[in-house]
Amino acid sequence: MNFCVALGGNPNAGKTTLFNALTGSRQHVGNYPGVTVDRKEGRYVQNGHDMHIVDLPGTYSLTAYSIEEVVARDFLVNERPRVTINIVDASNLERNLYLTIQFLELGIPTCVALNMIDVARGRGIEVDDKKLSRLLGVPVVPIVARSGFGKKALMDAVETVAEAPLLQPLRVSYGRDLETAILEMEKIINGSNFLTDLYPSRWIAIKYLENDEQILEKGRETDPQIADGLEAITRNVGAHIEETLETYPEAMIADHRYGFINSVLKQGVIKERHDRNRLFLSDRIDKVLVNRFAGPIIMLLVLMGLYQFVFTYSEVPVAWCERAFEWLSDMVSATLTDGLLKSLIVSGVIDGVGGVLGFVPLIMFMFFGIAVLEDSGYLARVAFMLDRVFQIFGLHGSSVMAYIVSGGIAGGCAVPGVMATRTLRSPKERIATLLTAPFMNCGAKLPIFALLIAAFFPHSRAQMMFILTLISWAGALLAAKFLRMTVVKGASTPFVMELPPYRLPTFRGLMIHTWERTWQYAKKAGTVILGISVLLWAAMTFPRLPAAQVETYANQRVGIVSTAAPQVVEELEAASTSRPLSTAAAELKDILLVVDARQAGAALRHSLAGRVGTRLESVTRWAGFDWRTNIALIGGFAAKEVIVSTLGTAYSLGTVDTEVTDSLATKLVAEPGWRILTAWSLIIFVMFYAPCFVTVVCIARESSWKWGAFSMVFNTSLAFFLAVMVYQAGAALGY
Amino acid sequence: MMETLIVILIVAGAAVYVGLIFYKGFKQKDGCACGCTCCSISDSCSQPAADNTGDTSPVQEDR
Repeated sequence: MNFCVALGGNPNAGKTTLFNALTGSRQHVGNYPGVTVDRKEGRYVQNGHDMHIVDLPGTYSLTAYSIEEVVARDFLVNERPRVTINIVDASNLERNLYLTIQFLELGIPTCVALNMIDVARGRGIEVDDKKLSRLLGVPVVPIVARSGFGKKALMDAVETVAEAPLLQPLRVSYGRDLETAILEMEKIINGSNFLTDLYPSRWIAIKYLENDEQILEKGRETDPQIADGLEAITRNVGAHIEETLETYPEAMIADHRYGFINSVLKQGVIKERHDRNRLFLSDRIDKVLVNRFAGPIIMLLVLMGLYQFVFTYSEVPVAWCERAFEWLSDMVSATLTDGLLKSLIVSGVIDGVGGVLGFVPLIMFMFFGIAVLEDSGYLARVAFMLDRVFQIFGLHGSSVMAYIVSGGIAGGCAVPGVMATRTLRSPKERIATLLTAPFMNCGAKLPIFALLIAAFFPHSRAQMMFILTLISWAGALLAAKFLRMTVVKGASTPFVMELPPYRLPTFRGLMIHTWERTWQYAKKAGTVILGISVLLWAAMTFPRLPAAQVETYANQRVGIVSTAAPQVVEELEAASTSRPLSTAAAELKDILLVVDARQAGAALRHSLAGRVGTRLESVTRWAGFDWRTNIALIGGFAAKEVIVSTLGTAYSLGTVDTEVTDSLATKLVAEPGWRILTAWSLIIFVMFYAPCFVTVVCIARESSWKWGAFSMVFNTSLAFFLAVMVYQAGAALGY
Repeated sequence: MMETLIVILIVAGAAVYVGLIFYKGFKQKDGCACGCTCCSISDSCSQPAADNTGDTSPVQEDR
């Protein structure tokens, strides 16, 4: 039998952990709400049953407010999975059962997975799963998704539910006033088959009373006359309740649902060994970590500590990687004869992609640190603490998580950050967040910053990264404020965040998270970045220098050699790396190298990329960027790491002394056009300019192409303005 | 001549590959993170659906 099984539940209840345990998948799991914003699919086979497993975004209710809630409800209603596994957090049963009740009211075949039963026991909570199952009328199976405990029993129960006939929807009594209105509405709905092919009639009536926007809209589209009638009943009963009870139908419905849950739980389903008001370890830790005064200081210290850890421990392995690529470059240079193929492999591939791959150890340490913060539950506290700050800038507490995922702690990615904005209910706050989240320092910007920091700020690497993080946050918040005051005006909405308990990260979990992300980085360098590097190498090589110009340089060399003493020329021709040259031969070599450098520079400027870069120089010199940097920044539109690989290729093609293979950082320091001010200007530009191609597509998908285009134009204009300000102000001050 | 031909083939191959990646990026309805560095959700790209055979997998057993 083939059937579909959906995983639904509150945010941070462990749906994705169970999904991974069932399907063998490695979907990202985090100890904070809202990790899954789209559905994920997998397969599980048991006893001849082929189950299509779908992991849905977490939701507290089936009343659609945010996009992720719409995704979850649309799937459950439109796709009608044969069974829905409702994952509930056993240590927060009352709140989690609120969604369960709604599943049952909708008549969804449900199987309750009582997750984190170990945490509940640790808190002195014992849940009688058999009694709960009897009272709800659906199987209830205790599980620990992290360890796999109870998985087999859960899937056996799923099979039983799949083979059983469909249940009648649960009826929760909502009191005389609302029940009268529901009965009246049901008559109208059943009489005209109004949306009854999709939902039970009672459920439609309840959604009308809850003012569910999506159902109201669907109703108006289906039959405006019936919809008007139902809305009139809703208004009447709403006015009556407000007058007599001073409340609203939505609040009354929620109260009655919680009343139903309490009546279930009070029948001996839960036994608590401790006082309910007792402070658990997580609460005690939070007394310090989210303290109004100490919290923000600790947060900054944690961030600084993370960067210190990353730069201290990655320094040696990064140096090993650099040396390995230098050795490879030397070896290939010595093996291949001069020509296009050698240039492609050495300058395009090794010096280009090698520059990106050289930072793999740094990226790995950074991801490890982020995984520790994420798995422990600390990131959720950061979001909680920053909510107040975000409100000032017209953003929402949920925007914090989008920022953090995008690279709020250097090393994230803007794409999941943009997708994480789905948790925002206000469209305007959402647009402001998804336009500014790419300002964060994603993992692709990290090698660029690491390169410039290593070259120009070698003695304060961690401090520099810390400062850059603060600059990106400040820039993003100010830009968000500007957008909220101009193009996306609107009031702020309140924010309530569930703080997950602190969990000690498991070694395996940390290793998996670190490996997955590092592998993504290395894989991209070896595929997309490699492809783009080859293309940019071609753009920096063709069209080649005209024969007449090549001949001019050749004649210059012949002229220099002819004026030199024959024995010096002979010595230079017979020179090897093991024997030092005489002073005269070394001087001759240097003179010839100057001619070679001139020719290499002329060839680069004559190439397609060189011409484009040079054309742009008239504008970009205001920010201190030369034509090589311009080429790299254009490449960065495709993917930010390309900036490093393009600079690597550009400076490699310009290198004429093949016996000296310096790292890119060393080459930049030696280049006359580069100084600390240039590095600052480039850092600011890279931090704020247009998001990469993939992010722009994602922004367009999550909003519209208008906003996708806006993000490119607005971000690049802002970045250029800031870079010019930094460079010109610095130059005026004599830096 | 041979060297030039090899280089042309490599560059053409890279152009086709990069072009395809970008084309897929535009066309793909879900999972717009595909091909993105460090993205925790991009590992689901290009896999139709993760699967696990409960009958045979050792992970199936309860601990």
